[in-house]
Amino acid sequence: MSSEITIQEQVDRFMQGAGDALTDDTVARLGFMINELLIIADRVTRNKNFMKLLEMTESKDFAKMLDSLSVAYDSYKKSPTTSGGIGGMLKVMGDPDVQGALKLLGNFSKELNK
Amino acid sequence: MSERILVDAKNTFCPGPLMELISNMKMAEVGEELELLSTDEGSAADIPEWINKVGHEIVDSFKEDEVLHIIVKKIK
Amino acid sequence: MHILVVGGGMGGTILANNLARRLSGELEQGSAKITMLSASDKHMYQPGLLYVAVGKMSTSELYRDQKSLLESSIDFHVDPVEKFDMDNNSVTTKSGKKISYDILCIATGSRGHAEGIPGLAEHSCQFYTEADALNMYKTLQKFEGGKVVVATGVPHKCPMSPLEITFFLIDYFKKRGIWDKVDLHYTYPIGRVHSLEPVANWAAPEFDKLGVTYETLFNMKEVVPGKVLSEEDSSAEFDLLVTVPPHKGMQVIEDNDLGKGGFIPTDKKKLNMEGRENVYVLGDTTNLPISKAGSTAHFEAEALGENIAAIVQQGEPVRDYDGKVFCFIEAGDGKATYAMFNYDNPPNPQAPTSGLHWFKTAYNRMYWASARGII
Repeated sequence: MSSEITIQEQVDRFMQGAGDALTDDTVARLGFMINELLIIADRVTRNKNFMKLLEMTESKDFAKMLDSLSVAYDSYKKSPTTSGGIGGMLKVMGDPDVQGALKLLGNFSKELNK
Repeated sequence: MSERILVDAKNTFCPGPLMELISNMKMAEVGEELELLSTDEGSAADIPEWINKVGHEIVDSFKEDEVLHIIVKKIK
Repeated sequence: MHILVVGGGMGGTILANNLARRLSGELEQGSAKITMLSASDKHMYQPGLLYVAVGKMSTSELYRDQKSLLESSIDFHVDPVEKFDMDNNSVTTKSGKKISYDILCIATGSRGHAEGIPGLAEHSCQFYTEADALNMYKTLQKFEGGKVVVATGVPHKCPMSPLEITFFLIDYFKKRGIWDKVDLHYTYPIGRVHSLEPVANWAAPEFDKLGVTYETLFNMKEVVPGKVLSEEDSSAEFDLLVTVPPHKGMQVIEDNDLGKGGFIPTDKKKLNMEGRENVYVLGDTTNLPISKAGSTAHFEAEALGENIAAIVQQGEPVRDYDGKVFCFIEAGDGKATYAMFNYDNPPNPQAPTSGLHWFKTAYNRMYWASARGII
């Protein structure tokens, strides 16, 4: 068997191999999946706000936010559990960072309700 | 009698001039005339053959600027 | 500017979505509006019926909700049009609503009309509605051998279907192990076995190889039990008659005197209804001498989408429909090919391959992305 094969022969072999491996059902399922992926991709890429969100992922602020999240997660894991109860809650609420986070959540739910 | 029905099948490949003529013949009234325009070489022989076989009448047939004109009268 | 699309089949759906994408700014501002009126809240993938008839596809795969296929900016109503008042740019719907428009697009489609040939509906199997396709499958399952005749009426939807159903029937009988008990006879209205000459030149020797007999210039005149008679004074006896029935446009088109047989006289390039500048026609509804096929509706919808959007945005259309048609041809035995042509270029189909059969199989499931105007 010669190791030199033309592109045409490679294509022919690929098609024959694919033909032996695939069934009509497999191709139909693949077609179905491509159909659904295309529809989802179309919806996502044509949603202006979602695209804005995607653009944000490239910004320095976004990188900083991810960084902050990982730092916060680390410190949460390391910090001792709060004592709980009203006293514990008031203590947490007093933290300016927690107040900032709550404000952000509040604004978000206000937007959703608009 | 109403005006001649023009069936312009120039530069059409599918369903093609004869099939267009048959469709239009079915919709026409007995006694009406149809003028078929065709550029398809293959169906040039089929069209008169079909008309004769079915028993309609070829009123006129000529070629002008590479376009075949066949005028048919619906007999039945 | 109010654009009214009448008909929610392939042509109407692709056109409405295409317009909604192109005019998204105008729709948001309210300077344009797109309304679609359809007879059903479901959208059917019509080419699937051929597969249902031979047990290759299930009926549940044929349907999606029409609303799920439309851009959300399209105002969709299940309320078919009953009256067209083109002098006053308005239509009246079944529910009695009067709707005015600036631009009207008619895409009501066509339907099998076996009743046009005496005895055909009673004595044949066909596959142009879900019920008929299912009924055909059930009849095939009970068939144990004998004379099978394939007969085609004119005009018909999907010019490839007479050949495709023949090759599928051969596959079906072979699979059931009764092919040796079947005499298959193919008839066709014109002087060769298919309207496209290269396709006919390929199919006739295939028939010879498979032992399928054929008769050309055969137009059904009447069907009596066990026998189909032709306009050409010929006949064919059958135990099972499979038909591609003659088609008509929708009744509403005839009732409103818009065109003979329900097909509207249409300009072949601009696609406007003859004599009406603001009325466009697409898909099977036109009287154009081109294939009544989904791809025709698709390419017409794209040309019209571009033109109507240009009219809204800059007052003038920008291009002509070039007559493009692309048809897959299922050739049986797991192979397929395709034919593509337009007003200027004849088709040049190549030998069928299994790759193209997979492409068609995948496309059967990718249709919905096409209806949404993505592919």
